[in-house]
Amino acid sequence: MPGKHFRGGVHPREEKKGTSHKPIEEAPLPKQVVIPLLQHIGAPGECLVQKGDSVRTGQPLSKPVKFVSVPVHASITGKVTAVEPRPHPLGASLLSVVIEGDGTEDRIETLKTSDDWQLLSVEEIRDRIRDAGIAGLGGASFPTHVKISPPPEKPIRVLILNGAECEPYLTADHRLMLEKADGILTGLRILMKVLNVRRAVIGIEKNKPDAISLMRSKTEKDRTIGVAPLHVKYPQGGEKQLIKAVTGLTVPSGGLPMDVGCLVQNVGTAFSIYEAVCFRKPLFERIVTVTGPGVVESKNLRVRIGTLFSDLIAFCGGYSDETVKVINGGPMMGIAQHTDGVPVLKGTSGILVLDEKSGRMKPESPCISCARCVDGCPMNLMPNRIAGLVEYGRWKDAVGIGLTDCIECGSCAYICPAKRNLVHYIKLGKALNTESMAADGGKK
Amino acid sequence: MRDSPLFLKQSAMRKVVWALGPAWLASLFFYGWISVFMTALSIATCAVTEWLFVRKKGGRISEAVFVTAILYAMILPPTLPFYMLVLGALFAVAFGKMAFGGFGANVFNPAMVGRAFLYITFPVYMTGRWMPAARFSDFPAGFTAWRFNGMEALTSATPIHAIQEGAGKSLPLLKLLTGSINGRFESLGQTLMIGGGSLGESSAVLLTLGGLFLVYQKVAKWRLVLSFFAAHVIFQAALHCLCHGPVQDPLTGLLTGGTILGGFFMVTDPVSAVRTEKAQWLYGSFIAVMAVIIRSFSLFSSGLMFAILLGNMFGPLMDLGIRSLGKGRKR
Repeated sequence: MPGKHFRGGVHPREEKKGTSHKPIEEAPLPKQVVIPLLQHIGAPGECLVQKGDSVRTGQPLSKPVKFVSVPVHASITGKVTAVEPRPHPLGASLLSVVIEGDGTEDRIETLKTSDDWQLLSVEEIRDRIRDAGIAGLGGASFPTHVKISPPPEKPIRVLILNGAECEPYLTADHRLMLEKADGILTGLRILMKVLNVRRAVIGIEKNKPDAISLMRSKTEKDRTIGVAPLHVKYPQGGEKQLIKAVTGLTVPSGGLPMDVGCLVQNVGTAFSIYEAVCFRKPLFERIVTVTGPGVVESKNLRVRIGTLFSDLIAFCGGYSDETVKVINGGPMMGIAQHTDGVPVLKGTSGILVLDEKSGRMKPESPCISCARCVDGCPMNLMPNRIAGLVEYGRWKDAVGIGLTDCIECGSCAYICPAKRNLVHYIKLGKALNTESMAADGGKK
Repeated sequence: MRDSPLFLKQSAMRKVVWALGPAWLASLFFYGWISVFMTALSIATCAVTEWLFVRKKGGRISEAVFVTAILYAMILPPTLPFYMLVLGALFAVAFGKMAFGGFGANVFNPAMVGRAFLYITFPVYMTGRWMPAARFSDFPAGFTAWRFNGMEALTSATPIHAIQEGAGKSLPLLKLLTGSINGRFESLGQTLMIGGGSLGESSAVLLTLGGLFLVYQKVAKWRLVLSFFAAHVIFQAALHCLCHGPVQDPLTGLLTGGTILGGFFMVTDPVSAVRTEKAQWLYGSFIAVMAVIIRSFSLFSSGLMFAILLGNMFGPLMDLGIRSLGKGRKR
């Protein structure tokens, strides 16, 4: 049985064996953390601390000023030594709070309650989720309290929990599902209550049979929660692809999952929701897979948000001799870093370190028009044509054939025999388009 | 492997060259070393022509030019004068490819452009002068001869012509399959020779092997191959039943007129073919239907050549047209 799947997609080597059997380890408490105020999609919060302030683990550092915004929290106890722009893993430098740790662990008061979430009102749950600073842990980091507040005319019928983890190398979600299955399921039930849905499906790629059977055994008696084994194919964990695979529904171009009555949450997000609602624990730590041929020992780590990549790589034995590249995220969608002095964010699921051999870029050559990218595109686009138009400055025409529908999964660039940097062109086109739309808006 | 400063490495194109290998070797056996020489001449002309265009920009010659050159040589009659071959190759690369902006930007399949140019400019040489292929009993035949002509024939008709003239019985299907196409037939009281057709198009079996290799390697799109051959057989069968006279039976149609070579190597040329899934079905069938119609009812026996050029021309419209249809339904 091939499992459920979607049209298009590619089959990169999985490369998960290095870490899929390694239990989650606690990373040492960092001496210094850098916490950017903007770690989510939306507006950054207003900074609440200044240089010289003492902060405790879990204390909010910012206050959201708009609806699509979440606070960030101190992830260690210590002193604020700077509030200044620092390198950000998504590029450029952004205003960040730098905290120097004093080595102790003085957490803010946490409610040691269990199961009381059933007594909480929906509004109270949403507030706790927002106050905990939860934004999607799968990578896009969209504020969760916004995502779970759909307008009343678009009711959610199916909640999908995303445990696909289709990016090669990464195993953070896999380990979390094995080790914190109960927490994840509680988080899922909290979400079901908030959204008032009676049907939830946990989508897991079939290359994680242990996670599938564990989730199956835990949800055996609950008929509202199902487990869907998914075909092993990239990008199975893409929101729209997952919905297609699990429900057969197609999210319309330019639309959101709620347009077809679906909502997708990552398993890591569900676990953080459980902690936030049941223990009022802010999102100040997450699971990160540090892996790749360029690092001495690959590990799954529980890491404080704001820990620098360099500290984690040092904890994993440091770089091997031929290391050339450090990537925030996986090999398909991750972003190569110009420095290892960038911090772990709420959306950082992995740090991939590549050596000379695996990180080599082949020179780009002209398009063969072989249309492999068209076959591989999970969004039914023509990446060759879109990228070609952008290359010649015709990104406005590219919008007409679906530029903005691209999910930047990288399948096209992966499959391209001419090694064309298709996603680079598409991202450039999107940036130009956004810029020009902003300019047009300004004129009006 | 290091990158050569002169040539642009394109692994997909290398695979096409490998896939053409068996049929090309067979042409050596059937016609002699002239086949090797013609191929070499074609490669040299095409490569030099492309180099003349890319040299100023410091660009490199695409390996695709080898595919063009070999395919072009394989669809020429073995008796063609060499200067014509050079002219056609020049035209193919200069006007079929570089005029459009070089590799990846050409609308038409360059090899087909070159052949069409020759076909119109030198019709006598392109249609009337064929050589019978060597018999297997002639071994080593072409392997040791410059130009092997076991039947001592000066001119002869291609199988497709011969069948039209009523030579069906003297041309067993086995000969069409292996490519050892030769024999005599009577027409209007004259004894005529059956020729093997173009250099590399005769051996259906070896071409199919190479073609399947390409499909397996995903260099050739299976939808194009399947739609082309399916439409070819179905449409020709239908026409054969409806108007018996000029239309051959579907099996003969499949094995003559370069259908196998065209279906596997020309229709699937990535640059000039369509890109989207649904358009691929349309494109393959369109070319097949046009080929059958032109071959059966027009003056030209090279129906497939014109059909492919027509397909090249309408391909982009198919891509765009089918996409917008799909969008219209969704919204």
